[in-house]
Amino acid sequence: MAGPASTPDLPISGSRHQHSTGIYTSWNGRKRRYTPYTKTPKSRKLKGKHLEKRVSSESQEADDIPLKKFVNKTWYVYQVTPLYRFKQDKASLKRYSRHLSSYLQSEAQKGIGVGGIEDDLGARALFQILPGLVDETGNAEGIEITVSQKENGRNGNKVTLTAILSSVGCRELTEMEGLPNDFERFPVLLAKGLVAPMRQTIVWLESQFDCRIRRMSFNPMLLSWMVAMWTGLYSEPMLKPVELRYTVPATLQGLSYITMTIQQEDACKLWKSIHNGDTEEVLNEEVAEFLQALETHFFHHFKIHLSAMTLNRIATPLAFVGKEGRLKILMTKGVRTVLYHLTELSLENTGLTA
Amino acid sequence: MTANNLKSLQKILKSLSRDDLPYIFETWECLSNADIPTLVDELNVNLHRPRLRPNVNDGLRDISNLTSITLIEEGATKKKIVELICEACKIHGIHKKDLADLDLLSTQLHPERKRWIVYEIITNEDSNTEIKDPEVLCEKFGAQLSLLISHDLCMRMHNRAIWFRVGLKSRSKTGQGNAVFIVFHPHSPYFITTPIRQKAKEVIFQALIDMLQADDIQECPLSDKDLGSLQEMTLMKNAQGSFSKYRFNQVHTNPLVKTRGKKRKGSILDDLNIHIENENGKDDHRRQELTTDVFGSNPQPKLLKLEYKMRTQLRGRELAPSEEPFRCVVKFEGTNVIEGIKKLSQTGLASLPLPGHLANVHSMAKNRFLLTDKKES
Repeated sequence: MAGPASTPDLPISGSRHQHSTGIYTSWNGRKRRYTPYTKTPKSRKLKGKHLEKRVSSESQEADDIPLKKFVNKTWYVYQVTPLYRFKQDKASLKRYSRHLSSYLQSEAQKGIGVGGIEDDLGARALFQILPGLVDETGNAEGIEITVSQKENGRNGNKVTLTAILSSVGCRELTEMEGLPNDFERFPVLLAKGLVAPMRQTIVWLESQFDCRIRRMSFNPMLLSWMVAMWTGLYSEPMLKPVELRYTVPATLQGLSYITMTIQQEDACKLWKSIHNGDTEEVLNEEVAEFLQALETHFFHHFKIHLSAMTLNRIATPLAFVGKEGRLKILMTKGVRTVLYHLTELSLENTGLTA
Repeated sequence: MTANNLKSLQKILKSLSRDDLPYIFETWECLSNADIPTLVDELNVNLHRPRLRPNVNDGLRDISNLTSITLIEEGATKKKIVELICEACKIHGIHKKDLADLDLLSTQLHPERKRWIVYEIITNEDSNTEIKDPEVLCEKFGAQLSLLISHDLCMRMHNRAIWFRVGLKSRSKTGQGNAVFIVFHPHSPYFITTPIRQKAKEVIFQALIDMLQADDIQECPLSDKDLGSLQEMTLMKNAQGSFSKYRFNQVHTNPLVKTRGKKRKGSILDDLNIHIENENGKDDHRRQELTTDVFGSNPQPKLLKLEYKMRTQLRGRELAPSEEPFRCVVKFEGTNVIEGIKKLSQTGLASLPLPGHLANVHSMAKNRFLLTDKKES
């Protein structure tokens, strides 16, 4: 890990770098901005615990209901660069809704959409603030965009796309670093729905707010971080098991996946024997040791080297995450934790934290 | 014919591929005796091909051949053929038994569309009453079963096995979803079925036990989609792996006679590459040898899934966090898992020798395992 790129005082990075005294003093994501691979930091903060406290201090039940929207659905995760001149007030949101609606309708008239032209006519978009995701200062941390379409011959509307812009934890992670005025950060976009409206909405957002939106993918390193961090976060009975799925190299025909499903309690016990429960900080070594322990256990029984395979999907009691950027959150409690971590990753990828 | 019957007829016919149709024309009784085929042909002529048919009085068999072959060879689409058959059946009328028979036929053609579970019959060696004649077996099974439950039974021989289809009365109106297929292998203690609901299972197994005068029926921890491989794994349990070469008659010398190995003659290829040396040649060679020792050189039975339930102590760390076993489940998935594991050991992604529960899957008649620690006593 300790390559030359991780020493903090290299002159390559921009001037803003000097302000940085975040949690990651030992690591700087911005130096590798233009390379497709990002480095994992030496440590991360385990966000679950204190986020939970904050939620429970408020009226938790009222908070949980809107968060149910996130749970048990499969989302695609996108990363978003800062939005230029994005306003959260009601009038602006209304204006955006109108704009996007008319954009979608005009696209439909071009006949580019997948469905028939008549199907695509009458698309309506709606921007609204997501209740339940609001930070201490009252700023919204989640904006929901829904696109719906009139169904032929029926009165009801069919929702074809749900997308959520999230900035959970953003303020905290980028505290020291100011953006030029006019910019607003919503680093993560969760989306689920049909392909055509999704693509069009993304194009519209990109041109409207001068940003870039890209599908996030999670490499095995990031996935192993998530497993380790989220395995021991909660200890209640009847939690979903921890799962690691490895893909076997494609040249080996016949075998495609090796899946290891571990009872949550046992995985949690193992993690607690590695990780010091008092600190919120998770170290790189701890993650490596956790994975190493599981792989050795596997090797002892099957004599197969799991380290030669690629980790491509993980499941924890908190969430399911696939390599190709698919996400399913399993607990309402975990929504904030997961979103926080995604924000962190997105900021690292776009190179906008220090 | 009721609307339900028609619906299920269409459903079965649609599930077949076009290449299956000649076989169905040949074997399904409704089509192999001439009434319906004639109707199909007439309908075809009237509706789509207004031309004179050649000899009508050529004998029944000829006509049936004519129909299937002309229709299929002329390149009629499957949809059209199915339509015609349905139309003809509607006019002529068919029984529920014929439908059940067709269902059985289509399952024999595509066993991979169902999941199959292996069971073992446990008998006393004394009370060995083997029934040789499948007809008798079917009758007896039907008699036993009708004491317990109302059903319809259908039997066919296929690939040296006796196939039963037990249709049970169901609440759903189509009645197709509730059929159970049982594949019997004479002279072996194993039989294979599709999944059965618990209630029906008790009844059917009771009838089987009574019929065979067996003591008990036990579920084997083996179930998968490829019926052929399951049969191979249970019936030829001891002829897998490196022994498969005897089964396929690939050995021409008597294995019990020791012969002095011939000196290997160098091939032309060796001469060409004389200056290129494979540094890991020895290791590769050894790995190949060990792999063929275990798996043999013939294709492995196809399994889509292997599952190991583990209740062993954690071996990942020097100090296990607790005395209790580490509960975890390991699954291997793919199109042909055993072949995949063979490849793993060939390519060196696994250390050799492989543990027994992984290397000998082919001759254990199992694909679900429970691993526990050896008890120290």
